[in-house]
Amino acid sequence: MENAEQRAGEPQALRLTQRLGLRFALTYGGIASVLFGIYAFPFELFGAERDWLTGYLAAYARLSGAVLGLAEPSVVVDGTYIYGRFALQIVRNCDAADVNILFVSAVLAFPAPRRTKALPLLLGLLALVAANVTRICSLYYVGVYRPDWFRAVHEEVWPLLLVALALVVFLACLKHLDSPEGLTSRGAGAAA
Amino acid sequence: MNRGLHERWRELVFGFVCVFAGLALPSRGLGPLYVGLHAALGNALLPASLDSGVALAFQVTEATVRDQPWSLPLVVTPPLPRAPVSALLDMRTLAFLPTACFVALAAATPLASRWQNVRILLVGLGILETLLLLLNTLPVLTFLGGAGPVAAIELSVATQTALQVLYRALVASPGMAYAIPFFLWWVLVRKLGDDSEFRTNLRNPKPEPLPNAAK
Repeated sequence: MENAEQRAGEPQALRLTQRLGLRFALTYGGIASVLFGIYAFPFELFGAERDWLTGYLAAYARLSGAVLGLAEPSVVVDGTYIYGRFALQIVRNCDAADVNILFVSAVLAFPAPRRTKALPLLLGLLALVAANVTRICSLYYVGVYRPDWFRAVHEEVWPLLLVALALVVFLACLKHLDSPEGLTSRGAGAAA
Repeated sequence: MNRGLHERWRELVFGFVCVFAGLALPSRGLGPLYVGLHAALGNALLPASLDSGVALAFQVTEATVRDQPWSLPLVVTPPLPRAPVSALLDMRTLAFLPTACFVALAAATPLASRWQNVRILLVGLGILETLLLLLNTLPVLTFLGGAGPVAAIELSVATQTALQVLYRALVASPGMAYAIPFFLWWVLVRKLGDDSEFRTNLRNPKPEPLPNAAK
């Protein structure tokens, strides 16, 4: 009897999972679109000479320069430029915003109570920022010692590593999020 | 005997790294052939000249093949007396790496049969290449719409804004070269894959409580 009831509940559980999956995908797409829209908005088309991104990128350059300065006292930061034995400029996308947006959207869209999301979101973002600062520091040394590798490491290797890291961090965050909303309560209701 | 899920994930990662490295490591590699094919496709799709009198053509030269084997030059020729201008499209990051990433994922996924991998590969490549073709028109349209030195087509501010946002978000963001094929792979494995255990893990990476229907 219990097995028959279990079998009857399985399609409902599957439908519920599918519905949650679809809701997650739509919410994820919506949040990511809004965040990318803000990040990528072409303010210059509307006459702005500088937008909020300039200050943000300069702050990123200062942070990376400070970390680099621990090993390279000659490093100087000027605006979005990092000068030393190799010069770097932090421009749009050097802040790994794409990866951050993908991660933040995934956590925010995940069907779990909001109160459980703040800490994983914060820790995950910190991990991604730390990885990106590591990326910028590593690119400095690639530029110093193997400048012929710079393009490949910058445009091909690190983006792949950051996307993979974002996925790993997201999967790790899932362990700290509460059970998907509705799977227990609504699922029980639907099956009752 | 069912292999453990961790072993399958390790198999996926190892297989992906091997296939992707094999495709992507040779820096010159398939570049000239790949660029040549895209130049032929581009010239077949592009109109010979626009209403503005600007002529467009992808022109691969010996010099670009030698010096920049992955670059596809788009030559924009405005009406005289203005001189032609050339813009280089980096086909490696715009098209080849996303394709290589997807091929590696599809080939390395531990599914019940190799036929499943082939099906995901074929369906996915059809979708991905169409998507990449559309995405690669964004920098061209942006360039021709006023971002480049020749305004070959007239675009409203709203259209320019939309193109710029899409271009910056989906093309210029370096992570998207990998994120887009990854999302496509994830969806196709969920939809087309037969391996229930691995697919279930992709569906629900977090163990979920079942509805208490049996109680």
